[in-house]
Amino acid sequence: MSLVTTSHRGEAATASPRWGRRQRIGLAFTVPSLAFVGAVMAYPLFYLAYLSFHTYRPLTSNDVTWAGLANYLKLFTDSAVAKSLGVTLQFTIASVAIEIVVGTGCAILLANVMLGARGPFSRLASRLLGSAYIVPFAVPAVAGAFAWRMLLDAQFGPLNAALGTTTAWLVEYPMASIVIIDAWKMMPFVTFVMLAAVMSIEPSQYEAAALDGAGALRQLVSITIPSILPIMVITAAFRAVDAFTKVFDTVFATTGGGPGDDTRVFPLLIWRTAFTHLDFGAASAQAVAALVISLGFGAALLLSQRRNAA
Amino acid sequence: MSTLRMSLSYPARKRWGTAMSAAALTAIALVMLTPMLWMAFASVKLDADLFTRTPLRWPDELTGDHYANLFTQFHFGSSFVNSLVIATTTVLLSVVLGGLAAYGFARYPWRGSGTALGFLMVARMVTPAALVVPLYVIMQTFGLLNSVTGVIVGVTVLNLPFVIWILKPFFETVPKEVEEAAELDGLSPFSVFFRIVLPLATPGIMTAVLYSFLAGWTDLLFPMTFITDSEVMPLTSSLLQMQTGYKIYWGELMAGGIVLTLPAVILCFALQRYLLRGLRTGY
Repeated sequence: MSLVTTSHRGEAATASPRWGRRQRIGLAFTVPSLAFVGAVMAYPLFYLAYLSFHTYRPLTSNDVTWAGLANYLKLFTDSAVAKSLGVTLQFTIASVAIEIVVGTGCAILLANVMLGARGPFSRLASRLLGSAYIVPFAVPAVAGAFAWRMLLDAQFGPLNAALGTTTAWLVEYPMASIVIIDAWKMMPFVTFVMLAAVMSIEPSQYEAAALDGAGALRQLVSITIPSILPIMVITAAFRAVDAFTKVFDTVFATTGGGPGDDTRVFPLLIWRTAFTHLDFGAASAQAVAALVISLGFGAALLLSQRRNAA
Repeated sequence: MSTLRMSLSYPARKRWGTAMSAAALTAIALVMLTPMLWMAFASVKLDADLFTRTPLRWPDELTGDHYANLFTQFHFGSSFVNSLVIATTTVLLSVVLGGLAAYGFARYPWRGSGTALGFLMVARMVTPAALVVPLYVIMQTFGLLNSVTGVIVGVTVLNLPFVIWILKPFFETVPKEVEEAAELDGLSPFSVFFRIVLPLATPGIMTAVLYSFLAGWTDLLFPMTFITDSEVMPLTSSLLQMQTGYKIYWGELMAGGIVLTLPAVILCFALQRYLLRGLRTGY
């Protein structure tokens, strides 16, 4: 750090201590990716910030005109924004809570079966069982969404037929519906992450507890849960950032954000403002708000994780 | 019940617990599989059996008409090809760019590479819907709307940080001595990477290939925003075409959902090992 003076000229000709051969090789390896991300993500995001201070409505005019803070003020005056943030928060908390609780429960059961499986037949059965949990994760979100729409259909859906009702689930319980569909899709992810955590617990701990007369419930509360709790918390936090920032396909293809704007999650609000109402300025300000929230939370998460690891 | 359990020996109790767990898991697994199984079932029903208030009844006759209609009325042939093009190009771009970068970050750190890596990690958390707004205007300027290029670029940039994150630990586990020996033999760092390190990191590469393919194959946001010409659409946004203002083509929608799903599910099962590895290291 103290030998900074020689830096710029010396670097190409001779191997200066700061930009040695290895460092230049490292740069050569990483520059293509950084340039790509710079051109297709960083530059567009700067352009997004620029647009957020301008009016651009392609429907009425192709001009981009200065708008000052008008688009940002709209974030606070437009009731759709506050409503959408609330809806997204509700969705995130509910779906992540279900995924973590049910997903971890399945992981503990799955570990139990896998460790208890004896003989080739039961080992095969336990593998097949595990595989079934992969399916929703592998299914493209749009396809899953349309499958659920059929399942929940008021007139022709099998759920209503089985219950003997004609409930329009997506209209009467829109939030519960999208939460369940998302939980269905993402629970396998939690299950497999937590399965790895459960499987890594030393079996001797359970044997010692069993010798002391601890039952299954006691073992669960005093060995399993405390061992996996840190991973559970991290998984929940990452899932929450993911749910908050990326929920789109499932909602778009089922409720479409409705009825009214009851399930218009934030990414959907941005998209609608830009591509349905063709108000790119307002959409850009909304997008900036979304980025501030998700990147702020995400950066805090990465930093706290790094501190824990160090 | 509890007296029964208390009277059993420890191994017997354990077996009983395993059996109960298996039963509960089987029940949940059936629930997890129901939506897609129903989609497959609905896709081969006649319209008369599809639009009935007794959907649970097993139909007298099954049909492949909805699948045939996909290709005759809903340009699914070209959509399938477009999806393949988008997914495979995403794989190539992500793995080549991401592989090089991950290796650079793992083996040749430079001043500021830690910060660069940090930014790439934060880039994973960018809301796709926020990126698509300015990218749309940019693509319009470059005349890249209604082409798969715009979609590939958008999907790849969101996928790339994830690939780097997955691959970096794999390259760190390749023994340094192998590379040093190769460099002494006169190989350039790039040939060392392509000829020696890549083959050693095959499990990591397979994981990156699988996730990149899924990212390209399943993406809906970019194609539905960028592409209005049905000949250029991939399967995901073609599906949306089946719900028009006045009619939803349910049979075709179910069949199309299966066509979109099958390749992804088959690939995930074939590469199950890598799928699980990615779940653990990728997040």
